[in-house]
Amino acid sequence: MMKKVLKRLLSGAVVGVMALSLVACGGSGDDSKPADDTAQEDQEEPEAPTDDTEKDVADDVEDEVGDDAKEGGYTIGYSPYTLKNEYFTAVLNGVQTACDELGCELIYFDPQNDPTKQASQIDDMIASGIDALIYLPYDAGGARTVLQTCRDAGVKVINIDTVVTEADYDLVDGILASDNLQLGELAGQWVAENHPDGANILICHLQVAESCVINVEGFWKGIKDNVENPDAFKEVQVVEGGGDTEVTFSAVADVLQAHDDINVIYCINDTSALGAVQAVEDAGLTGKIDIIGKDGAPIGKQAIKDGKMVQSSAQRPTYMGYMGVMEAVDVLNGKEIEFNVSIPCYSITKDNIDDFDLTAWDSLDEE
Amino acid sequence: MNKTQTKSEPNVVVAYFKRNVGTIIGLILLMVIVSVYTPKFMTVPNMLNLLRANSVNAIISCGMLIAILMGEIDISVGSTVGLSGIIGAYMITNMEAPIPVTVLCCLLVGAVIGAINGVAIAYLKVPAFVATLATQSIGRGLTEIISNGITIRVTNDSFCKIGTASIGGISVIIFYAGIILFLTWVMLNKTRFGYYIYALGGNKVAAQYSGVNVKLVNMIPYVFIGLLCGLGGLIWCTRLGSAAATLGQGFEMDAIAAVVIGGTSMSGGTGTVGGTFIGLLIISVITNGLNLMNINSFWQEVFKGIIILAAVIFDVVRKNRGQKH
Repeated sequence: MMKKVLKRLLSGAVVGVMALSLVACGGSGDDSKPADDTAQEDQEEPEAPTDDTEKDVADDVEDEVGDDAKEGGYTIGYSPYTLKNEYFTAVLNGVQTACDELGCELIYFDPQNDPTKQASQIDDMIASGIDALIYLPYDAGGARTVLQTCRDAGVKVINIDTVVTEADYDLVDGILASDNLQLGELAGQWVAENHPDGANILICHLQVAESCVINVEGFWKGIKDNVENPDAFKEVQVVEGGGDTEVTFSAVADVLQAHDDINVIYCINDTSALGAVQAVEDAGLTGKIDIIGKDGAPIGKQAIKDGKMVQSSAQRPTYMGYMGVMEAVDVLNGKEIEFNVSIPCYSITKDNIDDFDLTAWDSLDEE
Repeated sequence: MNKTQTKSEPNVVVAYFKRNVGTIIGLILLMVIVSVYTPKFMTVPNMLNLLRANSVNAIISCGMLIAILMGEIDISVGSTVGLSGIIGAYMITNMEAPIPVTVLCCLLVGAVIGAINGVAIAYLKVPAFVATLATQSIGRGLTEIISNGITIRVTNDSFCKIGTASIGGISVIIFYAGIILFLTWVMLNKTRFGYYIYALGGNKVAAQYSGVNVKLVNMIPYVFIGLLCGLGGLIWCTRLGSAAATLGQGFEMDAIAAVVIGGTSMSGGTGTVGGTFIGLLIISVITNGLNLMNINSFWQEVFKGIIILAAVIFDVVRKNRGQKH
């Protein structure tokens, strides 16, 4: 009997140790990374009472911004969907650069595509004293409670990339996002120009993401606005690619068995487009099917350079993250900002691919 | 132990059909339904495509089968596939390592994770679910650290050949899967070690009393499972020409589904490679068929779930009936 109990205790201890080592392992990955806060910027006039006009819904409340925060710059929190995706790491790069420049401390965690995790992590950030949050809500429709918590704690929120519902605009201090319709439209325009007589199109979707739904809408708009005979453009099928290479690969391979008349594959990101590239190559149809990605990711640009993809509408995640922090600090300093900023995107094709840096997502240079 | 000893050749086939009658009928029914809806289904290219798409799942299911036969489980397989794949891509692209070294490292990574699982489960008595949950988390974390959240492209074409080459028009990874299925079958049916695995799942205490080195027999299979996952990662990263941090997510579920649909009892001791093979085919036909029929992929999950449930209920009913007589 005793022996059994001992054994149980022992195995419990082993699990405990493993759990601990797990935490230690994870630590280097998603620990908060304090930036060196040497460069104390001079721009902060301690919380001048707002002289803004009341036209912006955002600045209706001027909370007390803790004066102690001024000592070491502000503390900024960043909460994306996940850090497993290079898009969000590119945003992080921009956020980090801006924080370094302004002498702000940066705190971020990995919500792992889970809105409940994201919410509790934001609570943790508030507890550790962030002044502003750069927020990409995983669940744009369900962000209100998180926003309210931030507002109650006096934390400014800059909502980037995935825009919260309009009813929640009163709780955010600024919005920065890519023009999702334009991202799709640019791809649609490419199809209109290169397949003027019509095309059979396969869509590799991520149907749970609202931004992707808008992308695809924009894609069809881009085609139909630019051709004489919109009926010649047929949607052969929509498959769920999960925004993921291997899922898209398998789905496209199946569809290519069912249809031999596909001319264009539109993927809602470059990662899934890579799967389509491989599936088309396997089917021996390279060059016969035009594969379009989205985002202008390094892997997408490389694929365009290699002639495997034809077009990708580029977003500017690094710039977006950078500007997000800039806006956050402006708001904290009581400056007036433009409430809703749409970041223009651009089309990358084989004709202009050499103008871009293939290794980075986007640069911080102004266009 | 349900394993019928094979006596003569025709008996093997008959026994096979008898043992898997439920799933075979299910599979045929599914194939008929899909064929009626789309003529593209029953074509040679599509069948090859279907097999190829499920080859990695076949390889991993062999590992899962062994774990479940022992009355245990390995939920770290997906994350091990991811880790092996990302390490392969990282080595060949970022470090420009020679191909043989990269291949070896991919397999080694799998074996090491497997060995950790094995030692924790067999020697330290950590429940298999907990031990592999831990290594799953460790593997996933390491994958993210190495990839830094970025998709790593594989530009070395000869390395990619490992996954993209074909022999006589048939993709090489179908052969890999065939070989692994065969090896697993041989191990489970023709070797003393395989017999011990069944014995372990059937009755651990009895196995111990009959002089089997239970701990070792319990541990070694995990190293084998790890190796299979290493191979799986290698195949995916060469096949796709890239590896992302998300590689392998959810693989454990597909593997468990194939094994369970194939008539393997979750309590261990009962199950065959042949049954698992049919389970694999059923899952493949659902995925491929629904894609061909242009049905939203969310339904695939629903159908998979229903079929798993049906298979388990069937298994339970059969077992109960067996006990009554």
